[in-house]
Amino acid sequence: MTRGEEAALHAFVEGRRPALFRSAYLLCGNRDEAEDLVQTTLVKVVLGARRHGRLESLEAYARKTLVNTFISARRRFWRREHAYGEVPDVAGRSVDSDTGLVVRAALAELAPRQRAVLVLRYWEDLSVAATAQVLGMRESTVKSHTARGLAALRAAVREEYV
Amino acid sequence: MNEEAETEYVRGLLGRAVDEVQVPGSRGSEAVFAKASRVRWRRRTTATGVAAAAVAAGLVFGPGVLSSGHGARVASAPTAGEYTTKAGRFAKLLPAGTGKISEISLVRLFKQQPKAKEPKPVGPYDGAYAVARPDGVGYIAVGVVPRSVIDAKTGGAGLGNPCKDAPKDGRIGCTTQKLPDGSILGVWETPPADPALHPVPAGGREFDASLRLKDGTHLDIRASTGFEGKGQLGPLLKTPPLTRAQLTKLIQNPALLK
Repeated sequence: MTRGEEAALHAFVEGRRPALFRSAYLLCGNRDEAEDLVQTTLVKVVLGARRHGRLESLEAYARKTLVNTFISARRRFWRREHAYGEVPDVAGRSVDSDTGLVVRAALAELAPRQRAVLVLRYWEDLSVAATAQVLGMRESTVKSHTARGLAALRAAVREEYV
Repeated sequence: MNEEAETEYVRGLLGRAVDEVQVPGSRGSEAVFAKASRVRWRRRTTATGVAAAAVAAGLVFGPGVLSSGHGARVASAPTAGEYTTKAGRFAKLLPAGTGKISEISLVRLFKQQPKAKEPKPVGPYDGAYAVARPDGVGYIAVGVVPRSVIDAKTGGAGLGNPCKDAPKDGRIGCTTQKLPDGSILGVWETPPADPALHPVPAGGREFDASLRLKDGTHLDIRASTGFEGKGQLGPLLKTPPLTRAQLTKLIQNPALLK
């Protein structure tokens, strides 16, 4: 990798971190976990970029790494937690009427893949096809996850405000 | 609500969910790159050189040494002759009080496959040895790497100065010295791996030494506090099984090459 490419990689890591953090926060619902997820993601991106010597698709690579690292970690987390009969990381329903809290609580109750679909489709503004590609699932699965996720989100917001 | 309006509505909701969270101050890209370098170095040493050769002769666990019981599942029983001869002879090269020594197979432990194929040993002591102490179980891995193997992996370029990329590769306190016979000795410390990035296995802190002989042969030794993950030997040792000085002395022992 040339010096110019290294500099571009540094700039990407520095510049992309805030945006990745917001997506990570929507996925995790927890600031510390989101920060760790972003750090892990960026390390993987750096390793991948150096290994393949390509910089043109860093953005997509980072996005894919972020959601898949999240899902993978959450899968392990759930498995471990289930052994103790506890539900992990599900925020209690807030009595606060703040929309942000309500939305975060609703997201936290979704399965990790559903959450990832909503974040990619509506926050990262990806198409159904692109979301399916990032998550390695069929488009029909993305659509069904989207429908269920949106229904849960709408219900939570309606319940809070109606 | 049409699709476009719905998209805007949901995006707005998600925006509200992240609006109030403060984006953490940048830890700096340097931290990311430093961590990436440590991971890369770990992978490289596992894939080539040290680890590949070190596991070449590592065969089996000695009975009753490991606390976790993982080893028993992956190991086949050694013959009495194999166990007492090689591990016993290797123990005699170590300083008194190093710990209880037994041969292990890192390949089989890491892969959790009792029949995982191992490369042929080159040096008489090539292999990995568990070092059991009251506080845990670490290991020492020894490997001789012939010039032909290094040339094949590097395209004939050789591995160069072991300290050249030390800071970038996460090596701490890397020093080199030219020995009277013309060989180059490098010694350094490797910090523990981050389990989140290197989950299976995540190595503990270790001292490493690399002796590059004039004929191009390498002798590499790792003195590690152990590793965490599948096949874990036991709790990590508090300190590596050998000090830097002890490791420096051991790697210059000609018996490791004969």
